[in-house]
Amino acid sequence: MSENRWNYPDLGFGVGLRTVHYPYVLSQQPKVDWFEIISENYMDTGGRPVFILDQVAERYPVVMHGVSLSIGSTSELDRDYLSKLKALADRVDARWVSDHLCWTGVGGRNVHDLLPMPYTEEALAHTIARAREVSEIIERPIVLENPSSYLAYRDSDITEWEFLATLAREADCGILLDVNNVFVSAFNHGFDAREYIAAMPADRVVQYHLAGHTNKGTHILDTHSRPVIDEVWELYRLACETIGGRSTLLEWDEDIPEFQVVHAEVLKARAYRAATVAA
Amino acid sequence: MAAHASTAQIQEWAQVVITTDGEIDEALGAASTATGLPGSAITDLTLPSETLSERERLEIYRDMYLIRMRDALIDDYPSTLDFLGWDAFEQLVADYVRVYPSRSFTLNHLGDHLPEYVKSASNLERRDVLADLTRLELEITQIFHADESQALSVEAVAAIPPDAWNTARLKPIAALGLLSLRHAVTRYHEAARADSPRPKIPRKRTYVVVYRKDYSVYHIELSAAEYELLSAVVAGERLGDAVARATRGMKPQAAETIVFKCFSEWVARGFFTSVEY
Repeated sequence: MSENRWNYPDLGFGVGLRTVHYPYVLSQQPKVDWFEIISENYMDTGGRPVFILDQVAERYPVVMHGVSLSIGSTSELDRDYLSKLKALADRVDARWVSDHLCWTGVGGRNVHDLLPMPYTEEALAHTIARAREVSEIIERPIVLENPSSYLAYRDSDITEWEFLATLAREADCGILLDVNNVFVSAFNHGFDAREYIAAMPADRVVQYHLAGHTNKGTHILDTHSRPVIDEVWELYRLACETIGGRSTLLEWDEDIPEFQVVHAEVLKARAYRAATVAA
Repeated sequence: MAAHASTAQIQEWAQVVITTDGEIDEALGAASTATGLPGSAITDLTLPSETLSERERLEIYRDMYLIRMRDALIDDYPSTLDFLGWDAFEQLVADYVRVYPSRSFTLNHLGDHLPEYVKSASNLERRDVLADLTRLELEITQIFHADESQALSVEAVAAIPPDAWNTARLKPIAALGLLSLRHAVTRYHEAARADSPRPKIPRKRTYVVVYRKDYSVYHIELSAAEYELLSAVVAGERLGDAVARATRGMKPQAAETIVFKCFSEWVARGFFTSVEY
C-alpha cells in the first residue's frame, strides 16, 4: 500500500473548525488530531476569525480547504486570491491546501457554488494547466477534492474519476477523496461508487472527507447536516483498504451539534480503518 | 441538430441559468441571449438522470444560489430582515444580487452595496429608514472584519506634555467608524438582536460610533458636538483645531467638561492607536 508522493503526514482524525465551536475549542482544548479550516473565512478579515485561528494553529495541525479557487473556470486565475491564500497558508503553517474540482463562476462573478465541470479533453487540458500554475503560485501542490454534483453534461466523454486521476498525475497535484461525495454523485448520476474508488491513484490521495447528506428520494443533497450513513462508512473502509489510511476529516455544516458529537462521529472512522489493517 | 459548446460557453450558459431569478424559462431565454446558444441548449448540453429532468437538475442549483445569497445577507443584515419580514427580505435579496452579484472570493463583501441599493430602490417601503438601518449594519460588519490595531493606553495619553496637546494628532484604530444617520435606528437594531419589543424608529438626526474592542463590536450614540470632535480627530486634525471647532459657541467650562469626558472615555474604549506630537 503506497503512501502519498509528497510524504504528507497522516494527521489522524480531524474536525472542520466551525464558528459555533470556537468557545469550546479555545476553552477546553479538546484532544483532536487536527483541524481543517475553510480558507476564505480567514483571508479577508483582520478581526476575530484570525485571532481565533492563530490560537488554534498554535496548538493543532491545520489544513486549509477552500471553496473559491475555481480551478476549472475558463476565466483568468484570481492572482490576488492566490496571493492571499499563500499568505494564510504560510501564517498557519498549513500542512496542505485543498479546494474542489469545480468552477465557481466566470466573467468576474462568483456564484459561490461548486459547479460541475464538463468532463472533456478540452476541459481536462485547461484544468491541468491551471492546477500547475496554482501550485507554482502558492508554492505547494494544490490538493483537489471530488465534488458532489446534481448535473451532468452531454459532452462529457470521460468519467469523473478518470478526469480526476489524470488531472492529479498530469498536474502533479493531490487528491482529497470525499467518500460521501462519491456516494452522493454515484446516486445522482448512476455510476458505481466502488469503481470510482478503485480508480484513484493511491500515491496522489492525501486526505479523506466524510460527511452526512440528505436523501430527497429523487436525488441526494450534500448537506453536511447529519451523521455519516453506513453505506458511506463501508465506502470509507473500502478506500482505506484499496488506497490506504490517510488523514481523515468529518465535515458538519448545518444543524451543527456540540463539538463532542462531531468529534465522536469522526472517531468512528478509526474502527473502519483498523479493520482494513487487521485484514 | 444538437449544439456543441466549448467549456467557456457551457460555463457562461450555466451561470446565467443559475443566477437569473424568476421562472426557469426566463433564465434559459436569458442564457441563450447571453451566449448565442439555441433555446434547445438545456437538452443539447445537459443530461437528465433516471429520476430528474434536465430542468429539475438545474433548479437544484438555481434554488441553492438564492438561498446562499440570502443566508450570507442575513448574517450581515439581521435587523434589516427583522424590519422587513421574511418575504420582503427574500425579494430584496433577489433584486439586489441581480444588480450587485458577488464579485469576490468571499461572501463577506456581498452586502457592501446594500445601503446604496436600498436608497435608490423605489419599490421599497420606508426605504429612508432602511437606508439608515443597512448603513448601521454594514458598518458593524466592516468593523468586525477590520484589521486589528494596538490601542493607545491611558498612560501613553497621560504622558503627552500639556503644551503639546494643541498640536498633537491622534490616529484612530482601523476598527472604528462614524455614522451620521437621519433616523434613530440603533435602539431598533439592539431590540431586534435581543428579540425584545421593537421601538418605533423616529426621524431624528443620530450620530453613532462603531468600534471594536477585544474582538467584539460595539456602537454608541454621540451628541452632535462629540461627533464633530471625533470626526475631526479621526480625519487627522490637530487636537487644538478639532476641539475649537467642536466646542465653538460653548462656554469654556462646558467645553472643557465635554472634551475631558470624551477623551477619557474614548481612550478607555480603545479608539486610538497612536499619538503624534
